[in-house]
Amino acid sequence: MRYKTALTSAIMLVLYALAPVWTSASASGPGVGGRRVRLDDVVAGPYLVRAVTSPTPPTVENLYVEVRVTGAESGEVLTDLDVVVRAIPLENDAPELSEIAVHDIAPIPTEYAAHLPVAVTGLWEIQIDIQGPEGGGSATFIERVQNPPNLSWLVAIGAPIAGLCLLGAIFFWLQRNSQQET
Amino acid sequence: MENHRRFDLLATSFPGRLLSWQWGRLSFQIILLILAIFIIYDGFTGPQLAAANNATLLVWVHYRGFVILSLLLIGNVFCFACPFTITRSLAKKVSSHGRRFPNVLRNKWVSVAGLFILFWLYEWLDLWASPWLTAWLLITYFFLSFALEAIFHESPFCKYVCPIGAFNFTYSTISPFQITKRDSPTCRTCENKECVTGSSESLGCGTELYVPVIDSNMDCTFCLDCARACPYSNVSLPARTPAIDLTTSRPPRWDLAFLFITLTFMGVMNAFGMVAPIYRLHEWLAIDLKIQSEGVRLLLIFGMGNIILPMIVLVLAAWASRLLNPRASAVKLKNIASRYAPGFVPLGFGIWMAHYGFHFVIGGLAIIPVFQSFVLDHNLTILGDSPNWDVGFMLPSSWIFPLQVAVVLIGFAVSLYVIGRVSLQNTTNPQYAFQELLPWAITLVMLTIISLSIFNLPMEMRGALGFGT
Repeated sequence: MRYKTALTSAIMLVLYALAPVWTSASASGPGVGGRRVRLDDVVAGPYLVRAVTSPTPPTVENLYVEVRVTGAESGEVLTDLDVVVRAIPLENDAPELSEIAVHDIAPIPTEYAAHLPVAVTGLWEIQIDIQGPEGGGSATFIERVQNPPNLSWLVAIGAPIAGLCLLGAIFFWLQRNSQQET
Repeated sequence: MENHRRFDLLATSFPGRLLSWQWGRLSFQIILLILAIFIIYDGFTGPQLAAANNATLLVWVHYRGFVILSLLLIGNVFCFACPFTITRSLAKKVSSHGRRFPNVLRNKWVSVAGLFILFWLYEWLDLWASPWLTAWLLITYFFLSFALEAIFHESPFCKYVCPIGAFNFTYSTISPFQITKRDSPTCRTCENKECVTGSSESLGCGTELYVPVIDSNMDCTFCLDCARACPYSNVSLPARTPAIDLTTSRPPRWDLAFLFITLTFMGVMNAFGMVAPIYRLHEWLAIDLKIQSEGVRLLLIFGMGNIILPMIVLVLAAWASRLLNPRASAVKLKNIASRYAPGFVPLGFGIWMAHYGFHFVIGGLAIIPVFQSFVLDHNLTILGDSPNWDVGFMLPSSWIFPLQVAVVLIGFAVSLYVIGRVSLQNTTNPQYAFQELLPWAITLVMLTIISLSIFNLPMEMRGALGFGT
């Protein structure tokens, strides 16, 4: 019976061992889920700027800014501008970041997006600079960057296995008690 | 569950009287109907940005958060106040009270298929990101519930079709309240069984549950029609031990067992759809296997994760259970699967709660500026001149991840407790009982590890990347 127990356990473990492989890769790429509106048609020179950040909360190496620019007079969404997004640290000496916002990585094709790999936690000023035929404009907002979740494997793997061991111990104790009673 | 000493929600002056009042349910339904109309309106006319539209925010953040909380604290509250059943009731009046729902469909397979399709569409069409599609989803729901009620005699939409209902039914098994009779003699002498057949004042149970034999929240919409119809006021809604359903024996059914397990897998896959590794998988499918259609790729990924894998696990774990317990060699796989599958419900609930709770906590307060913005768009300044987009989270951000981990681990612990109890109910020898539960316990361990690993990854910005599309 022990052999059967071991064999079945091994089969189940092998079957599932494949699944965590999917999740072993670390996240990368621009932006992460949970968008948040930070500027809502704020005046920036001759333009109105809407800015959306993600993830919520933004984490180290992972701040994504989507920008929609509208002509203040025309009300039309403008897609042929130069948009640069800067991240300026307010609480530390980390280097300032500057990224050109492009359409390619924006979920909404008429918008601009930039990925800012902010290096440290704390407050950052996000500045959006726009240049175009109608002139230049700028808008800013403050964003707090946090550390990404970091769960120790001792908890992620150890706690469930400890739970299983505890269950086994309880049943072992029950078995001993029932044997003593008989 | 006949207990006069337990706290009975229906016996309270508030909310008991309100709930059992003849128009009690309708009042709540009308509130949600107005909300649904508002969602549809803003979904079509408001800004087509998920974070700035009431439709996407209320459906994908608030609704899901409230459902999880209400299931945990009370019961199947959403089905109680479900606005879709208002059109259903209208259909009942205009229909000719037609046929019975086909026997072959009188199970959970249709709702499992509905859940699968819903989660697949959710990923493929980015429903979460589209106010417009979210509005259409609600309209589709109204249409389906109306059509099915108009065609068929009973309420097949709730019991056999509705994916939301299947989700709520499943997780209401862990809820702390359950419909039951006040005393048995009254029910024994009752001739007309109004709780299920209806009375002149109220409909009977739409899902055809008979109060004296209800021993689970499964299939109960909490509509309280039974309480309104009962001429003896013999229906109560007492507190009970949460998750007690899961350890009571029920008729063996593959469909129900599969629903319990696949909802846990769907919880994992739904979270998996938000992290970077799924994009690696997309990339591999698109580049190496030349599958250019995102819809097909997602169908493969979610078909594997939500249907094939849980099916294999269900059968394999039942087979291993039987193999490991020498006294169970003659027991049918269906019986073993039906016994242990409910054990996945607490873990599944923990995973959904960690996921939906996360969105609710970080995005819940965004309803303030989004609603302000809606009002301003309609040239009203009663809520200020500009939306306050600086609203924070509902909880300190440092609490959120530890809470996510905690709810998954609590769900896991309760799942282990459930399968432990179930195994001892059927096998008096603890050693054999443990051997029988071991495959299920290992499955739970693996699912917990995978879930925690996924929550440990930052969420990806879906819709920002495409491979070959």
